[in-house]
Amino acid sequence: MDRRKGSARTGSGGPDRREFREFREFKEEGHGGQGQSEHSFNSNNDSFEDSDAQDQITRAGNDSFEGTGQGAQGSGRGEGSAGPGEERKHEQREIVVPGQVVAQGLDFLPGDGTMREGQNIISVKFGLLDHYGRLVKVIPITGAYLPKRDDIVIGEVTDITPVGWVISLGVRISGLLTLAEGSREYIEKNADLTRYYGVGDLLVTRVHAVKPRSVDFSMKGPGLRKLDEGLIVKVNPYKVPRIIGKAGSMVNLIKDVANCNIVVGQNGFIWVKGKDIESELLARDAIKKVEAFSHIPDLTERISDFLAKARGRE
Amino acid sequence: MPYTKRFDGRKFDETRKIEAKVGVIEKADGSAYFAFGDTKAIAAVYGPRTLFPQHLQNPVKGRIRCNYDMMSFSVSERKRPGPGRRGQEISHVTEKALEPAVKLDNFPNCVIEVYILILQANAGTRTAGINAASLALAHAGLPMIDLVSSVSVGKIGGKLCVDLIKEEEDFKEKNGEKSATDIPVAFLPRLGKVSLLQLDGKISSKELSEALEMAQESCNKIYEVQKRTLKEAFKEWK
Repeated sequence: MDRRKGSARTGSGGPDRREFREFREFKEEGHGGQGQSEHSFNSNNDSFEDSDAQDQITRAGNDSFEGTGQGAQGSGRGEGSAGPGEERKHEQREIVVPGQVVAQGLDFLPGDGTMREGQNIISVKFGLLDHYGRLVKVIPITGAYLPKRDDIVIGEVTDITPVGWVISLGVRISGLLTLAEGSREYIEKNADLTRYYGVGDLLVTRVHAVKPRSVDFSMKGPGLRKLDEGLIVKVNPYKVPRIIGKAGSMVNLIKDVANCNIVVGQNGFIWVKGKDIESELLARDAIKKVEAFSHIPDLTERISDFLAKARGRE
Repeated sequence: MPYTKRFDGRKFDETRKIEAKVGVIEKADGSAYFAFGDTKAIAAVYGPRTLFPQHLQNPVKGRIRCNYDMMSFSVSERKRPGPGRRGQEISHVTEKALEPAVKLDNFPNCVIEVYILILQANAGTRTAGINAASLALAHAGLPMIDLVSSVSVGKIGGKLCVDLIKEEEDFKEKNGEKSATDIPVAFLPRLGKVSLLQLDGKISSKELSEALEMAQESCNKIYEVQKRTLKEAFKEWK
């Protein structure tokens, strides 16, 4: 199965749905794909410790070495990788603003969200500073959703035209789901399109093509469907990788504890369906918490505590 | 009449109390609030998105489109809402002030829309608007080489002051002659470059360079506030 199709999740994953437990984690774009950062971090860590350039890096830059910790995964790494003792407390990655000097000297390479200016590397975005060995980059934490091909998103049907359904993603870009891509079935000419999807329906859909003026969607793929009743939680699209967590750790945690079915769209729409409204609200609170505190390390553990406490109170 | 003490008791090189916040408008891609004392501005940023009409598109560079307006209740005499001659000019100079800070070559054929609204006005609205817009652009996750900080300086009764208030702008000599010079300035503080410089009144070139130095110093302070505001936009765990 094409691995890229797996960025939305369905909770009811039976054995046949195993495959789309995998997530695309913004690897190509570097939007904070936690999976990748973990790897490159580990492989580069030792060499970096030896580098005499270490002192040139800003203090907080060092912090980020521990700050990659994604909750349970992060704490698994040994103390050996820790920097100087006093750094242990500030595990949080530094928040940088545009124009800030994030590294000095030619030993570093500017990655996403940074640029070289003479001897310095400056941040060009508002976000979290990250180091992968010699590469310095800034992960943006705010901003608008830009559709990318093969993103799994949740959109709302806002209109029906003779050629298909108009889908809104809650941002300024809307797009078309054409008849050909609308269903796996053959759609007859002059068929009543509301039989498939009506205005106001929410769809888990895939971005099929991004054009200069609009976006095309497709409903052909595993897990793509019309959503029935449930709760929609809207979050900042840049927080989506964090809400999913490394290999789905965060969203799985919320699903398990709150006993909900959750689908995360890359556009920041999250569909929650539980057996009762209380579990849905609990899942919503947890998601909102992840969004608000996405910059904090060991978030999975904290969210786990939060959920356990909330469950205890009930 | 020499101007020896400011109307509100500030030092001559002191700005009014600054307040700033980001993320004040939920639906915007980026937003910020910035206030110099009673002059309060909010800015919202949307985009980048494709620029229409198409003939305005530039295939190598994006564009900032700014819209400055004052709320009708922001001044004591009702301000007629909507664009006017003054609003259009300020929108235009704000665009020009923000442009050098944003890496617009990343967004060919696109437009970034900046909406600035003045909630309450007591002189220096364009400078407050630029400060708010710069924060909002950063908050929208757009690539920028620097923030933009802006302040007005002026010569009031022969004395150079920073961040004028309305009474100072309207300052009159004993003989009834107006003797206030108002100079809004915007800096890219890290690069030390000027991106906005307007002048209304009379001033000698020597005093102008002195005034600009004062402005730069104040802008550096404003820059610190802006940086702190962005960094503190994230809450501690609770």
